[in-house]
Amino acid sequence: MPTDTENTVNPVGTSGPAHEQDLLLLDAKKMRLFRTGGSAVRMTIEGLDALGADRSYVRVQIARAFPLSQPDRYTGFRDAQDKDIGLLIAPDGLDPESRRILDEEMERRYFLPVILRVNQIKDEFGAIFFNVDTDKGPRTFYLRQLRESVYRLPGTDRVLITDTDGNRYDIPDVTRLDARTLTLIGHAL
Amino acid sequence: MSITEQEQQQSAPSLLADALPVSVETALRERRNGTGDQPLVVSVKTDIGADGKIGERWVVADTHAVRVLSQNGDGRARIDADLPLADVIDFRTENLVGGGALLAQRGTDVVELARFTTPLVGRMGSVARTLSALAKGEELPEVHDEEVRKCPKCGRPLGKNSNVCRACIDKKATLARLFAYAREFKVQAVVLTLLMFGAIAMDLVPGIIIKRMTDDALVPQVAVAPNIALGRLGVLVGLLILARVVAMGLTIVRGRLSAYLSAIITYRLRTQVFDRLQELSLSYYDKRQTGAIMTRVTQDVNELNNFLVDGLQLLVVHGLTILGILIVLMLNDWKLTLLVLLPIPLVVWATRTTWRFLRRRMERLWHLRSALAAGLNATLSGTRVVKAFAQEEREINRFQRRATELYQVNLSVENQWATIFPMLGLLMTSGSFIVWYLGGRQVILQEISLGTVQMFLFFLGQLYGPLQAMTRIADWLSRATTSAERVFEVLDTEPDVADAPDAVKMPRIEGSLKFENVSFAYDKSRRVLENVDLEVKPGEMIGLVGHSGAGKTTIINLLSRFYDPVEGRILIDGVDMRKVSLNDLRRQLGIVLQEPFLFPGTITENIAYGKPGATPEEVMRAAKAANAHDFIMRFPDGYDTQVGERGARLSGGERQRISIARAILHDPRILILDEATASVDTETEKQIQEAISRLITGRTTFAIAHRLSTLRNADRLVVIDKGRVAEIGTHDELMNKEDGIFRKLVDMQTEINKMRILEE
Repeated sequence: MPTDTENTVNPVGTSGPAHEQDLLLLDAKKMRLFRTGGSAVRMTIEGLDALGADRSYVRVQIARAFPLSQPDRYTGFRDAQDKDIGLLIAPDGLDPESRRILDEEMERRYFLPVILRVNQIKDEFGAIFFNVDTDKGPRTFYLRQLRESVYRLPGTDRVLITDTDGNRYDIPDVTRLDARTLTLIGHAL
Repeated sequence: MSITEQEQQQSAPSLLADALPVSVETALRERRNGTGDQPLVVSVKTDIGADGKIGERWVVADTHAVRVLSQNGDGRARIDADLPLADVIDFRTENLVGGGALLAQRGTDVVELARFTTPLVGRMGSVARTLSALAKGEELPEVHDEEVRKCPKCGRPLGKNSNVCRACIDKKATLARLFAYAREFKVQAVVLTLLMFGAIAMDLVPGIIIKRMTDDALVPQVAVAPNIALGRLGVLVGLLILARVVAMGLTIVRGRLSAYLSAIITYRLRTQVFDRLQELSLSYYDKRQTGAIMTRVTQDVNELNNFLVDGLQLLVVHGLTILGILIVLMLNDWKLTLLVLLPIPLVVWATRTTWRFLRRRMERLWHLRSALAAGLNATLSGTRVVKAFAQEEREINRFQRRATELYQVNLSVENQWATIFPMLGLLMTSGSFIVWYLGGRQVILQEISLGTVQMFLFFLGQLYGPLQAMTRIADWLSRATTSAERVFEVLDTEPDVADAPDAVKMPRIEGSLKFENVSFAYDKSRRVLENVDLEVKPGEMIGLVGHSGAGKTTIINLLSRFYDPVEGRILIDGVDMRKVSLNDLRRQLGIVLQEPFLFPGTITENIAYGKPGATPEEVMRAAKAANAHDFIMRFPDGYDTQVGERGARLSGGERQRISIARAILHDPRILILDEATASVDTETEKQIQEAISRLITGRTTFAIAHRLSTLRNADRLVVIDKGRVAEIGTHDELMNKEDGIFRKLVDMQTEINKMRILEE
């Protein structure tokens, strides 16, 4: 097992020895996100080096580990080469600027309009036409092959629907939909 | 999209030119004042606004700069970004969740120009490539139009894997299409129809006889001597018996004839569906569970069979019976008839309402049934995993949950039927009360004869049966049309990969292959191959190396033409693969899979799968070359040994050698080896290696290799990393590359082997 590659680091804010395969848990207090004029995110982690020096990464990619079930926890960071840097369990404790950038990046990465209101819905021979208001603005779309495009998160009333173009929409609580909408998509649940 | 359509498409600019709104046009003109007004190379609309919400933005570029504009509310547009192309190294798209972003690389930093949702991913990829070419002053890349899956008739989107627009399929057409299958059996169909009319007429005769019997013999209107009445009675009863016997005879012949017709039509449909399923490309299967597809071949076709045997007869026979009865009744006493029919509209209305209510539940039931079957299939095929992890309990629970749900829905649907049916029945029999009272009154007032009332009661009794059945017709009809639609949908689905109309015959492939800028994605949002370029000489052996998920298998899938590239093309002997006759291509293509699939049958059948007429000598020669002959001869049944699901259990090494023998006998020009990772003992390993080296001689070979020994045989190695070609070269060349991906892989494997030796 190789032990001294460039990725071998001491854990930050956690105990126990770490090597390449270990999940590195990041300490919100010791990391900082910032931008350098463009859209790329840079990240520095204090005392990450074997010698206790800071480490810096350019063009960091940020993704949620459980975007559906636990969007606010477990945020993963990868470097420009797609290599895992580490995992932030909870963003509390990040400095305000880093937190702002994190939120921006998450908003940017996850485009999942939440359906606020169904204005019009009609069954057109197996294709269901929707006219909805979402938190990202109004939208019209078609659903088809209902059973394949409606997905209820196991054990919840949250439903994700995928329209014929491949766009996904979030319905946080399907039971709060109006009766007509519920009837039309209900039997696919 | 067919090849011809792709051919007709033009190069980049026209496909990436959306019309600009006036405000954007104006703002752009103001800005471009300095650089003149040369034509725009790119002007595309994206669908996410500057605020990250659904909106419109325009990305426009000329040879000097790329600009992003969006409209203000006041009918004017503003420029969100203005980037001189000279500042930009490269443009690319970033895959995001639910869409993507167009990025420009400027120095070490990137600038996000615009974002877009999933349907634009492919198009924006073309935009990025075009912009990159512009920035670098290279020739503009070819741009292919995205396939728009919309119904040409009504503009509604089409189903994912079907080109059938359900809005444009009407039930009548579906039924008409179903009946069209009967066209071949015209004579039988005509005879059947005549028999139906005959049987119905025979059903009407008894009612008339009963009237006669009452009025002429039992309670004669004009008094007659008892012996005359008796004589009449005898004749009438005789006629009654005769009518019944003839009716029975007709019904028997009719039943047998229609059974024949429906059975043969079902048979035709079933084989057609299976033929089509075999033709369909792999992508059709990727997105469906085997259980669900099986249901179409078995259940849906059965449903149609039932409909054709029973439903259709019910429909026609009962419909005509009702009509006949009504005509006879009307001729006798139209006023009483109308009164008797009073409850009918109510019955029809009630039935239709109930039907609408129950239909969705029936559909749900259908879905639950196929989900149960699919789940069962998954668990049973995964039995080893279930056992190994001791999760029987969980699987039992899971199954129970599904079964319980099915039970509940089933129960509730049946309960609803059980409740509604008798109620409908009562409604329908209400006509007889009317006859008893109003008809009886008329008899007392001597307005009509007792025989007429008797006949009314008899016919009403005859009417209820067909009427009740007719309410089920709705069920039959709808179930049958849904099933028919599903079956026809399979029949109408065009394979993604199909022969071009101008397909080129290639009786003998030399074996030179060329990947030109090939990109591929199984679904729009994630590209698995990106701009792969590769040239292979005839007879050359290429080893594909890379991490799992790097795209090796995808390359193999494209080579086998299980899928077509999303962009770029693959040339085989200089001809675009899409233009080569599929049959010729596959006939000269051999695949040895990682986990060889053996069909149930004998070893001989399995080896000769690709060449059904092979002689025993050929089969044995192939087995010998594959180092399989020896172990096959040790089996008690030799080459007649049954393998597959219920047959002999073969070891991994044995299965592999049989599949190598299969490939040798098939004698392909292009060979694909998906080498097994399964560990086999050194002797078997040696045998397999020998077999493989015999197999690859003289054939262009692509091998996904895991063993170093195989890699050494390869003329060149291609290292795939994240969907791109990362390194190409001979084994030694790549080994000499400091920091090369291949070298790292080899080092790792050596390390693992060392550990293995230590453990042993």
